[in-house]
Amino acid sequence: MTIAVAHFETPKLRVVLLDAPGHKDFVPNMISGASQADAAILVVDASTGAFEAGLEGEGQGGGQTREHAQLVRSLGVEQLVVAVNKLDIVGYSKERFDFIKSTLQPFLKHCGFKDAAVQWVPVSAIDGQNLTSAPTEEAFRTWLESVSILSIDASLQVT
Amino acid sequence: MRHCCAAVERNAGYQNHCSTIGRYAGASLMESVDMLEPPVRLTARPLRLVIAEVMRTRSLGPAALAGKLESGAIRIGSKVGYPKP
Repeated sequence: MTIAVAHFETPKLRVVLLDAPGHKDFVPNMISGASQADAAILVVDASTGAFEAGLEGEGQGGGQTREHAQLVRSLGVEQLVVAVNKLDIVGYSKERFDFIKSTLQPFLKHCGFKDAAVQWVPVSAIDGQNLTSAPTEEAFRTWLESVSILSIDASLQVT
Repeated sequence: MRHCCAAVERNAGYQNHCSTIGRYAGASLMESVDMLEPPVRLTARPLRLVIAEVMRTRSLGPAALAGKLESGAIRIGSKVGYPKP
């Protein structure tokens, strides 16, 4: 099995996306993709039970979210975008996103990711929410906008 | 855990490296990707290619190498010499 490669451009960057598989049978494939990467997008399943399985799961290393986060950091990747996916299943709940963020953040720090190098993005891939533009789903947009205003405010520096 | 390469002072500029990201919650996935910082490439250093895979054919033997370029630069047509192990 090979790693799927896609190319796209953002305003600032020309991005080569190496789609590393998440299933535990394909961890060696994920390693060969991640070892070439400058940054990583960690896709996390937000649906009830699935996120918990990704973190705790069965097997020696725990779930696949845990294993992939540890592996990608140990392969030298310093920057991470955590895409919290399938928010449609939990009704675009801010509480669920906040819970996942607060659970995962200490663990990522433990792996060696600096807080400033980790970005958190709530998305729903199946509904196309918050992928390339601001979400259209009303419930989602309301709380996401409040978050962005707060964070921009917090990032302003007093001179 | 810190990743260092003392020979090339690899970790020296790290503090500034991530200073601009991680501040803007509420960005879309594409905007978040756009905020990633490309690492400083050590193109002026000697070639160092970490070989991850060797592809062989029956007639030619080892025909292609794949890996990550850690330093130096390479382009199509470049001649690469390596000492026999």
